Parts: sequence; structure tokens; C-alpha cells
Amino acid sequence: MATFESVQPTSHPRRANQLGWLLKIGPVYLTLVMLIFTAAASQPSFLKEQSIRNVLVSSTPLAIAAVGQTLVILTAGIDLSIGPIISLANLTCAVWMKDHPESAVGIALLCALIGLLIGAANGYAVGYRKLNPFILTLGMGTIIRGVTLSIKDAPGGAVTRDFMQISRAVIGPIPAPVLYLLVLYLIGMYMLKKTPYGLSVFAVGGNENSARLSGIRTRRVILSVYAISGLLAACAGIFLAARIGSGDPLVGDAFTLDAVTATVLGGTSLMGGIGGLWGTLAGVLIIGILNTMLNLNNISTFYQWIVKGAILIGSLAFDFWRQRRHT
Amino acid sequence: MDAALTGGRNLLGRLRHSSLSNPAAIIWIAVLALLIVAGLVSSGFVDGAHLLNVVRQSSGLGIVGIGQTTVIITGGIDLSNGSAITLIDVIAATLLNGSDQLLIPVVLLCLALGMFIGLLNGLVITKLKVPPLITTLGMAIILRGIAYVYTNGAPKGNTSPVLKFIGSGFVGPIPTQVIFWVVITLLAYVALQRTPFGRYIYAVGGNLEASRLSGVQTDRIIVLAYVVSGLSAAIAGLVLAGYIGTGSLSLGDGYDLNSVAAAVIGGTAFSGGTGSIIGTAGGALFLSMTFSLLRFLGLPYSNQLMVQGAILIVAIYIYARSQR
Repeated sequence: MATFESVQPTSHPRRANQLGWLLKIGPVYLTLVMLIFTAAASQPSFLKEQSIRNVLVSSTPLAIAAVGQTLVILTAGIDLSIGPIISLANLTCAVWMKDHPESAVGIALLCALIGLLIGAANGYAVGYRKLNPFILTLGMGTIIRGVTLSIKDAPGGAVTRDFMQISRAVIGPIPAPVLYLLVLYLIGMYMLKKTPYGLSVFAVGGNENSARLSGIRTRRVILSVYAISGLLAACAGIFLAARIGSGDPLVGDAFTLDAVTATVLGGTSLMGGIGGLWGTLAGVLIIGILNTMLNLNNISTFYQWIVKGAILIGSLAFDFWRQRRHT
Repeated sequence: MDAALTGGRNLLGRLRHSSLSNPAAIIWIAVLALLIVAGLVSSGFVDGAHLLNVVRQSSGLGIVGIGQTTVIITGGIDLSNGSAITLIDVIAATLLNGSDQLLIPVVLLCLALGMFIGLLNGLVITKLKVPPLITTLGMAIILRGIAYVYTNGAPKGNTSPVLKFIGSGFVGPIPTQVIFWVVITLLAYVALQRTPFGRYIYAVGGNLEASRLSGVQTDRIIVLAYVVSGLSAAIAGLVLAGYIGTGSLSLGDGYDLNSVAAAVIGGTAFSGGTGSIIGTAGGALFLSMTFSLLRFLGLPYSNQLMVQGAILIVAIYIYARSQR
């Protein structure tokens, strides 16, 4: 089925293609809208500018990391080293910046480079050595976690005041993080839908063999998506350093699975070849709104877990039920 | 899959399969090698009582690993077993409250609960077509929530004397946990290698469509695999509850991914269709021996993590090469 879906864009007239696209990303936005209504109904302050801004800014790191996860999952892979890379970049950024506040920019770039290299190593092992991505990135993540904890096993470090502006700056009425997201997702969507590279990402996920036989350098594509994922995870970690003001060796823990969840909620198939960033953005916002809403309503963390797990399973089950009804 | 389908039919085939290309053999050789290395780098590690203690430390992981292996052989994964262990522990500790009076009903309840969790996982995966990773992840979050709600964040109670004996007692010089683990492993080995159920498990993981077409009720087999996994998590939960003696909200942490690691290190392929219980037992033993050795040498937790990750990557690298 994956192959048929991924071939569709070229074999169907443009109009039908667009309709299919709407159907595919529809349900997640429906969930999102329903969630916003529920949130607004239960807590009127939810629609205030302040809380909307809160949701957006606090969702930013996940939104950044989820772009990489989406690319990886589109190639039928998975990246479980995202959380550890976020923690590593976050901690090293803050620890180094405390000692060398004068070279803040260089340090941030170095942290991003480290993320890129780790991702490239993942991509090399998966693409060229054909190692199973789940286990490989799990192992890589465990190693990075160890490295991070050996650098510092408690929160610490500090970023410069100027550096904090990365997360706090406001351009006109719009917080800077929202602009980052807009730019990142627009570039990502353009790249996925309109460039040969994007097409090759879908092709590799749809059927790696036929992609290779049709001339796509599949191994290079796989290497690139993991490298991008590593780079973006590091960026998320650096952003968190700017937002919190210090480093924390465990700050990334929840992000690995949240990024998978956001991607899958957004309709990207774990089998690869189907999905995209539009859905992921909605998935990220669903997670962000859920967190804010459950907190605003004073629901204990304990029940929040139950609700989140149920929504995760429920929305995918609903998606299957809906698809079966249509076909 | 071949090995499983023809397993035991002829001696020659069996001998060939138990050669060096057999992952289960590789991991047990690795365990022996590690033992020799341990003996060389530290005196006192290779000592009867200490080694038995190391084996005891791996029994919990070994028991959950049985269910995880069964599920991975069918091509799935179970990330809910860690949370299930925690939930079973807090329920057992609260209900038993230090006495053996209610032992049998509570144990039966816990085992039934584990199987019910597995049943739910299996039904959602087969009937609603939610991917196993997401189903069991969602289930893990829900179970953790339930464990916190049930205890209100502060677990109470104690496990009973009999359970404590199972978890931390000794029969002669051998820890009861270890006897438990060995017996369950042998039972599971027989179930997977010598029964139609076992053959179907391998068949479903090897080629779902082909097994369906040859009349295997694939959905039922997959559901059963998750029930086995839930049951093994419940047994591990009870044994571990007996060991720590109280309710704890973090008892099951790490067992989800570590049981995957034990299975993979023991040669169970993530793509499904191959793997063995004996290999997973070796994997669990290898992991906890390594940790124990590193602690013995005084290395911090961060180094253990690095070594654990490296072991995983080296293991899949070796198995990927040996398949070529």
C-alpha cells in the first residue's frame, strides 16, 4: 500500500491529488480544532493572547525536533537519539558559555555541529551499514546520555543575557520562536513537496529498492535525514538553553517519544512513504495544548498521563476506522 | 524461521544450526568470555556467591525478556512491560499489606491483570491496526498514570513473607529468583520450540501474509504473543516486588527498553521471525554481568550507559554481518 500512495502524486491529476492531501491531513486538524474548543470552553483564559503565546513558545523545541523525526520516519526509519542529543547540546551549550561568555555564537554553532555529526553517524550506520534504526539510535542515544551525564550530572551552566534573547525577542507583535517555526516549517514543506530531494525522501520510504533502481542515491538520502534530525535536535537543545538560561542533562528525555508521537498523530506512517510536516505541526500543537489545558484545569499529572495515552491510541484507532469506512 | 520450523527434526540440521552462526551460541560464548575477562581484571568478581548474586540481578530482566522476545519474533514490540511491572508491584504491595492471607487471590489477580493488559495491546494492534510501538507506548503512559492514581503518588504496603521468599530467599546456595527464572525459561523454550503455538509465532513474524494464507489465525497468534508478554511482565513484577518488599513507583523503569536490548543482544532480529528464549536469557545475563563488573570496578553510572549503548550497536553490527 505504501508504494501505491507514494506513487500517486505523479500518476493522478493535480486536483484529485489535492483532495487526497486534504483527506490525509484532515483528521489531525479536526482533532486540533476540537481540542481548542474544549480548552476554550473549559477555561476561557485559554484564548487570551498570553496563553496562546505560551503554548506556541513552549511547543517550539518539540516542533523543531519533530521536523527531523518526521523526515526520518518518512524514510521508514526512527530516531530515538533525539532526546539525548537535545540534552547534550543543551548542557554543553550552557556549560561552555558560562566559561566563555564572549564566544556565545561560536559555542552555539559548535553544539549544532556536534548534533549534525551524531546524526550523520546514525545515518551512515542505517543507510550504508543497514543496521536497524530503532536499535541503532537507541544504542547511540544511550551512549550520548552517558556522555552528557559524565560532563555534568546535575543542572548547571549559564547562558549570556544576549543569548537569552533568542527565545525572548519579540518582532512586532510576534514572538521570535513563532517566526522560527514558520520559517522552518515553510522551508521543510517546500523542500518535501517541491524539490527532487523531498520526492526522494518519500520514494525511499515507500520502497527503498525501487527508489534505488530508479536512480535515487538511497543511502545518501538516508544519511541526510538522520543528519538533519541530529542537527535540529541540537538546535532544539540550544533553544532550550536560551529559554531556561542554564543547562540540564535530562532536559531532553521526554522529547524522543513526544517527537514520534507528534509525527504519528500528524498522520505520518511508521512504515514510511506517507505523511508530511503539516500533520506534524498539528501533532506538536495537540501535545502543547494538552499540556497547557490539563495544567490550566488543575488536573493532576497522574490523570494527565491517562488522558494522553488514551488520546494517542484513540486518535490512531479513529484514523483507521475512518479510513476503512471510506474505502 | 527455518530452524524453528524444522527444529528438532534431524540431528544434522540441529548441529549445523548450533554452530557459530547461531546468535544464541554467540551470546553465550560472549558471556563466557566476559566471565574470563572479569576474572582477569578483578579478583573477587568470579566467586561463587558473587556470581549467583549477579545471576539473581538478571532474573527480573530475563523473565520480562521472555515476553518481549515472543512479541519481537512476531514482528512487534512491547514498551508497556516496564509500567506493567510497576503497576503490579504497587497493587500487590497494597493488597497484601504484609501478610500471606490473601496471597493466592492477589497473585492470581496480578497475573490476570498482566494478561488483560497484553490482551488489550494485542486487540488494539490487530483489530484497530494501531502500530505496536504506539499502542504499547500509549499503554505504558496510561498504566503509569493508573499506578500513580491508585497510590496517589505515595505507594503504601508491603509484600508478604512468601513473596519475599520468592524474591529474595535462597534454596540451598541458589537464590529462589534464579530457580524461578530457569524454570520459566525452560517452559517458554518448550512452548516456543516444541508446540504448534511456537511454530505459529515464528511463522507470523517470518511472513504474516504467507501464514495467513496457509490457514494460521494470525490475529489470534499476535494477540496471544502480547498476552504472554503481559503475563511475563506480571510474573517479573511479582518477583521484583518480592525482592524490594514494598510498593515502588519506579520499580519497572528501564525494563521496557532493557528487555528489548536483552532480546536483541541475544540474537532476536527486530524484523521478526527469528530469535530464541535461550539467547535472550544470555542477553539479560550479559547485560547485568557487564553492569555489575563496571560497578565492581568503581565506574560511575554514566560509563555504564556508554558501555550499554556500545554493546547494543556492536551486537546488531555482528548479527547484521553474520546474516550476509
